[in-house]
Amino acid sequence: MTLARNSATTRGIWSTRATRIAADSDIVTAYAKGSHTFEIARQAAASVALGVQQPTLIMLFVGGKHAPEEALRGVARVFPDVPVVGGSAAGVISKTGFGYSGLEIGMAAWRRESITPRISFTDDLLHGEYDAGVALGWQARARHPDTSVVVLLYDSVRAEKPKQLHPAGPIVDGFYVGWGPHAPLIVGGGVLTDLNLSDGWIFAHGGVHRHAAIALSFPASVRAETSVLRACQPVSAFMAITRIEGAELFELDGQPALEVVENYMTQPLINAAGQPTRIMTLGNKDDGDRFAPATPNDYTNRLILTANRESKSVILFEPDFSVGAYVQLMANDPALMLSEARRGAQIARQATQSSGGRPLLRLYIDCAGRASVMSGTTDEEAGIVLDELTSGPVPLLGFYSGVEIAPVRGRSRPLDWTGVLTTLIETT
Amino acid sequence: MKTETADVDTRASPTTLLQKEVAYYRQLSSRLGKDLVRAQHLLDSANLEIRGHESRRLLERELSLVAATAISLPALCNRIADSVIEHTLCSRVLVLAEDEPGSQVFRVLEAAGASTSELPQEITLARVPTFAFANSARRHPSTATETLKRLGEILGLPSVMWSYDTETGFAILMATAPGPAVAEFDADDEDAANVALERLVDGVWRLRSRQRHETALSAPTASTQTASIAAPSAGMLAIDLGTPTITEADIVSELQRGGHIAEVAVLERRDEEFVIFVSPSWSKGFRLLRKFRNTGTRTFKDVMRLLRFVRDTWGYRGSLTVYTPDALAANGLISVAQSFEHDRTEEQAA
Repeated sequence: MTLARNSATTRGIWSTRATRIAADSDIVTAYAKGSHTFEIARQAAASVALGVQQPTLIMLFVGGKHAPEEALRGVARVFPDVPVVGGSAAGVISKTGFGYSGLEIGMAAWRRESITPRISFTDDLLHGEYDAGVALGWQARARHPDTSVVVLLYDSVRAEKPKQLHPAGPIVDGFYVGWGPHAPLIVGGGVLTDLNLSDGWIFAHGGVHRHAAIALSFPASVRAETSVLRACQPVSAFMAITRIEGAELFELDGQPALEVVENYMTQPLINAAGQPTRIMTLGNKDDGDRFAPATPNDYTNRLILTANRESKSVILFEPDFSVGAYVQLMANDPALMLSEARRGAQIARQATQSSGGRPLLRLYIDCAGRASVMSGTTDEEAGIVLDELTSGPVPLLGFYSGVEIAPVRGRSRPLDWTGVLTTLIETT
Repeated sequence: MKTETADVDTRASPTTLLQKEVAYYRQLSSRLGKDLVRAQHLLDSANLEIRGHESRRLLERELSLVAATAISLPALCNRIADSVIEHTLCSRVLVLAEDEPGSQVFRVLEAAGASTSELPQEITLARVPTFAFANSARRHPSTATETLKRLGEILGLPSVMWSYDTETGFAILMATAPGPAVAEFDADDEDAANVALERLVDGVWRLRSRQRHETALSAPTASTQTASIAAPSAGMLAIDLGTPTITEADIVSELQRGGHIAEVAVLERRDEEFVIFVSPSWSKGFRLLRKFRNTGTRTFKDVMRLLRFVRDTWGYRGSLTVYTPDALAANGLISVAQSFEHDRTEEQAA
């Protein structure tokens, strides 16, 4: 029995009825790894060229140890006139490999104009994330008023010393205001060069930009199915925020926030370099009844970016908590993270099988904190997602991000410590 | 005691009792939460320790392969630097060599995570320790303080690790930006730097040995093997029907004796995997590549990996054609691949 089945498979391998990526996929992906940036980027582009001769757009994610200009040059050697969008990546995820050494390059190339997104761009995040978001939303609407899905990528890092991030919340809020009524679904993430949140950059208009954001507005015929993979469970009782200014949280229940958090830890929250020694998160339960039973999906979590020992405060990734809000200290549950990754990927696969449309690309935006070296898991959660999705025909490209953006309860919002798995589907 | 407590509870108002109960459960949940966070921290630390050991094991294995198969010094240095970064997640790796062993003047042969254009052409060190490291708390050994400071300045990072081979003059320099994922270097990381250096030196000796062997050979090394060659029709690729396969071990062995790969053809299978056919200088016609110990056909899922394999392992710099399963010119290749694929599956089934 085994022999017969294997033999049949063997014959099938060489069948001329081959279903090949080059022939059937509207988006072709490539992955490469190595320190010689130009050569690696050129080779990845050459690999893409085996499947698509003249792409309409290239999405490029480049590990932070590479010189981004060199990567663009390498791609341009193969595709001199093709627009390139994307940015830095703390790591890259693809069907043929993934990693976060900073030497990875991932690429997706669009074959058809009818599924290619239009690009809106701002490099004004430094002067105000909200205003930049408004400009981006306005541009995006002008380019594609009937779009139903926008992929938003932005440079996560505002400053390295002292460490400051560009918050995603104001960008998304601004985008919605700039767009006006009937805004599309937004998925996306903040790009980083490494797991230390050192830097970030965006590719657009043939160049490399810092403090920038791009919005890719897809034609109305393209829609998205999104799963949000979570992993945080509460480990404390509710605590009221009694003092907060922007993203800097000073007091919980009238006590210094840093002391409250460190009371749960066996070592100081931050090291001498100001880096957190452990990922800690505060969660705000979203629904009205905070005492009702909850699942991880019911929380908006905010990672602690760093702390200020003088003011005994902690600085969060986003400035969207306010005085009077009740929060809980959250902990990453590694077993839950891995099981949710598998379940989410299975749901994504089933959803696209029954979608009735033509799946074009899976985009996996994975919080850098979920990498095993950060979360202390024995297995790579991205590997589990790939286990479930590699055998399918839909191409996949992902990157390790700072913040993820995805729809939750009907509106897109920034998320921390999640994996956002989106499948772009062409409606048939 | 029990009765007294009950009496106290009975006398308290229901509100007071509820407040006490809430306070009790808050305290309990807080304590359980702390225990959970601490237990989680221990588990994470244990897992990271395991991960560290696994990474070092993988690094050692990968570097052994690199040292055994690299065809040139640049390829050897490049693959060693990349592997060290991948498995240690450090920020930068330099492979350096003295112009003359003992001269204390080093040139950068390879830089990963740093641009060679931003590095000095030559690095002169007043003292050259065989092993040294620096982190924010200490510099070890104390006699290497100035050297470590200089190396840190060159790479722009304070935590560096240095390993040097006095006999060959080769050295590995690693630097890291500490953060939540990567700690500063300390004495425990010595293994990684030493393994990288040992494998580098091993690879250098192998390359030198091959060069000496090549020089010693006065006559061409191509074997006089006379295999029957499939007579190709117009546009068809010629197959070496006498020996239609070749193992990776055969290739490495012949390359060491001065042979080279003349042509490479790649055949795409229906399952989106790729197999390689090589036409080596020591025989005529294309031969299907089998694994090192001839345990099966060597396949690749990723063309990029295949390209790197061909370029880095064999030093092949020629063109490479990828044939689809329906390419007429590849009929001979398909026949060979099919017959050996069948062999493999029967072996597996058995």
